Amino acid sequence: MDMGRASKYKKRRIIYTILTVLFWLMVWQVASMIIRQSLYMPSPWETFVALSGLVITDIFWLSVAFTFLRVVLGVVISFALGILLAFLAMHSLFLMQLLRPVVAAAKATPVMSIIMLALVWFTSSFVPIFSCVLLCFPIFYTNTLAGLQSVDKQLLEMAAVFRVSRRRVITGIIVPSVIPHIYSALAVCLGFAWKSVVAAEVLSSPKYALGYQLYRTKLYLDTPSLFAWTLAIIVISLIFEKGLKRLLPQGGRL
Amino acid sequence: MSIRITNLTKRFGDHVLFENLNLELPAGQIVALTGRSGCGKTTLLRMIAGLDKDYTGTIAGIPDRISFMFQEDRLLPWYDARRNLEYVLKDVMDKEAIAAAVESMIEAVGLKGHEHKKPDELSGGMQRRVAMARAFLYPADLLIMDEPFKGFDVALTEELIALFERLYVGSGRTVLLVLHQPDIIARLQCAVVDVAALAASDGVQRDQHQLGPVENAQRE
Repeated sequence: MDMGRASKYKKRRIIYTILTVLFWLMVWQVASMIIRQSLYMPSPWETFVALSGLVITDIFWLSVAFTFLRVVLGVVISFALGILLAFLAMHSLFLMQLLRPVVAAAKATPVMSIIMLALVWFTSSFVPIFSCVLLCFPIFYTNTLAGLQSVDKQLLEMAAVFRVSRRRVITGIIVPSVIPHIYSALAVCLGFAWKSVVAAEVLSSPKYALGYQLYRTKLYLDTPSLFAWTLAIIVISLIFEKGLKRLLPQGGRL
Repeated sequence: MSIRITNLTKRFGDHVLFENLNLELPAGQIVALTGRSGCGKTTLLRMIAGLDKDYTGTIAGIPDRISFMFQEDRLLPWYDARRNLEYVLKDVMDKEAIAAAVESMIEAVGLKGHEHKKPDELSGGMQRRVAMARAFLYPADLLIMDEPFKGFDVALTEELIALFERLYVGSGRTVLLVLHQPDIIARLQCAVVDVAALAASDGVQRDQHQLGPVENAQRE
């Protein structure tokens, strides 16, 4: 009975999803018919044609691969740096104070300023990674630090009475307390990482990059391709996000 | 070896909790600390356990290993009951010994079938039993318990006391516990220390100090 109800619910959700997609496609179609200029608003069909033309080219997959690599590198570096510095800051009030303005500044600085600065400092391929790190690192750092500060003092005291070794205090109490905070940082960062990397690629124009392709379409006023690339970016970043979330344990607990 | 507290003075800011306290707690039996709330029972336990070191004077005769059952259960929420028990043993026993000890303790405290549940999946009484099991499982000569039977209904309290008796019998350990109910004190044949009478802040209380049922803790 319950199973039947569950599958019925699932079916209904699928139908709603399809209807939603169709509805917005129709809105898009109507808008493009009213505007009647593919330079401003290409129709869904034109976009689809542009996209199907793109996916058979080498440059598309190379761009996807390189941008993907930059996002992964940016997130991994931010992740490692944020967690490492948070652990160190937890043991050194001086370091925490020292990092406070850096993190505050990184959080408040507009993404474009970061990208412009990176353009001055680095080669084109490294700019997107740097921008991504500067955007994501503070999130990992502050979340990990908040996690470390939220560790239950009563549990630490319990471990102290029972003379639990330092190593086991870390693996048994500290890490499980911090992990949910790191997961939520990861969830926030994934979206940020894609947006910042692509934006930086638009401006730094590395040879193989989704952002650079986006820039070229604008250069040639090829709006259907602009729509197609954008659609590709959205789909790939969604797949990336969903895939990573599936890899992580449910509920953020060990 | 008995626990000897000599010239202990403990303050919280301006408030003097104990002043030049001298006390000897006998070994190998159950010692109940009584006294109105706020008189310093928990503080005394914490100082003996080494969790509070902010005092002057000396506390001697503390064994190397101490087991502590806190007022709160203090179980690791991400581990199931079994892993909670194993957690405190891993640095003092080898794997086989832990497995055997934990298994027989799970049987003894009636957790069989529930050992893979996390604390939030266990009832309050069950959680308390895991906390008590952990305290007895840890190989310590001194067992400190802060109100182990507090906050449950009559039936559950009775269950916990019976469990305590089963686990304690023949262990020869020194147990130091905060306990209020005279009937339980009599039943467990505790030596009684009225902490309120030892406290520095209230002279009246000191004069009215009455001996407990089996008072054999010595005030020097």
